[in-house]
Amino acid sequence: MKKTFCAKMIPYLFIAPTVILLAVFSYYAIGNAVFTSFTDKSSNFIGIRNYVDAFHDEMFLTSFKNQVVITVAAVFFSVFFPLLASELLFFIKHKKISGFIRTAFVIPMLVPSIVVILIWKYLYNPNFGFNTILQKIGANGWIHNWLNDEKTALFAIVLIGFPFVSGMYFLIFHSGLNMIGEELYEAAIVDGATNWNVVKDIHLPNVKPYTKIVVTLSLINSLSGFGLVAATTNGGPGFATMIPALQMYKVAFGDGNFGYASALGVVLFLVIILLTMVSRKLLKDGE
Amino acid sequence: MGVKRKITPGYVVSRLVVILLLITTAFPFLMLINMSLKPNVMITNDFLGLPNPVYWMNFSKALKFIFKPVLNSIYVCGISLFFIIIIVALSGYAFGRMEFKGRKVLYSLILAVMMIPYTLLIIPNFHIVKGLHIVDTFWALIIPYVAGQQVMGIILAESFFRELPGDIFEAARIDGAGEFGMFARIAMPLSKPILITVGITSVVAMYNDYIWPTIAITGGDNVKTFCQIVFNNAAGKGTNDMGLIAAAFIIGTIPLLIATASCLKYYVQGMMVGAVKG
Repeated sequence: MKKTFCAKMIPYLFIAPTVILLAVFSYYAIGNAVFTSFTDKSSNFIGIRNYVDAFHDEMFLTSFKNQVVITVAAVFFSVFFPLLASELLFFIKHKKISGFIRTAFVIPMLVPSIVVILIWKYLYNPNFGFNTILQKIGANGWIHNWLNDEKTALFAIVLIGFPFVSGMYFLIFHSGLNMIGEELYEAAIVDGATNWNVVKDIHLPNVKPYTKIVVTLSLINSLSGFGLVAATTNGGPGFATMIPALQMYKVAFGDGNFGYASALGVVLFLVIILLTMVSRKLLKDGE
Repeated sequence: MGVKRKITPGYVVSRLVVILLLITTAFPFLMLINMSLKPNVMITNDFLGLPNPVYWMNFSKALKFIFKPVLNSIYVCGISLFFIIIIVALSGYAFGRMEFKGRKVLYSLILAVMMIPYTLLIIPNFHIVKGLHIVDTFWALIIPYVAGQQVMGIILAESFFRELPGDIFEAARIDGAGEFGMFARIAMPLSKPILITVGITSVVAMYNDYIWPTIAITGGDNVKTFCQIVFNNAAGKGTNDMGLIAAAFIIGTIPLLIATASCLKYYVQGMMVGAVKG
């Protein structure tokens, strides 16, 4: 009898560390965040006032508008450029050259993202970087203090990482294109198809599931991260480039108002869940 | 083959676009290397010019202040990796190969964690590490990292263990192996590739992180991580010598570059599966 009891307990022993860690750092944590969102600075329960405030907070509304711009741009760029690059690479039949190009696109992916962001911050510097190039080609009128000018800051942030090829999304499309069966091409060649026909009639329909993966991934990545904005403009000038996640971080660790920050976080969480569900539904419908 | 390729306008344009994409992709990194080899004055005065003469001093000076943070990053990643692998292997095996009450419910509770955005957990996790009195120690990074990174790993390992053929386990059971024996002698050796995938994906995520360290490690520079130092620099703390910073960036990138380049295949696999499941 004793042995069977022990044998029954073994699986629970195996998963105990996981369960304990998740219970504390995920489930207790999220409960705590929701609870905190109903409290004020001195932990008094204030009902839904934080939520009401959030929807009257000009900064929070601007944050959401900025987030829409950043996310739409991010999703578009994450699909367009990596797909373009992998299509172009597909038609380079010389093995060594295509291998070299693939490596050249993949290596930058291994550089820490914060380092890449900081390089771009230097390139946007008012005194050198892109402005040096503009000066060299005589386009002095174009010189800007890119990240500190209300008119250009959001635009400059969106373009960080241009041409957005190096990285995961490129590899997803690249392997997606190479996964298409040979027989489709053979049939196409018999029919005398041009390269453009191959792209339009074979690649684009077959690459759809990969496009959906990239859309979902870039959507979630763009909505949940705030490191890029924190490291470049920190939401400024004013709050011209503020986004919800960064505002939440600043309200919490800058102002010490954890209740309001948690409310902002919960709103963001609900938006992410909603968008994830919508994109999953779209993903399933296509199959 | 000997067949001459027709040079069509489409051919020329597509090649030009590839070259353009390559140049724009490489440009920031070439500029970083260029900056790291020039004294600060030359960066502002002659940004595009090549270093002449090459100024190696940046690297020797950068090593002095960046070596410790890089070491801290490696240390944190190493210890976390050790626990992640053990926990992922145990849980992945239990969910993939064992029958027990509540298996489905518990597993869906793990899957559900994938939906929680990292950002929302920052505030409560800060209160938890504060409550545990581990703020400003490496444990403030390690424990939440292990808690967070295990999830993706368990999902990967569960499907791996589930798909292993049952015969080998049956044979071992007949030979008198217990649950733990089967786990240690059969499952573990077979799961090497999947554990490498889990390991490399989580190491990259942990090494790259700078948001959580800026919250959990607020004390002296001697416990800060590499990416945190870079981030602090972005916020205007630390030196203004850009050549020096560029050199420090390059030094701190090398460990990650070596780690990922040596297991790139596994890294890409992990990300692909993560993409489909997440």
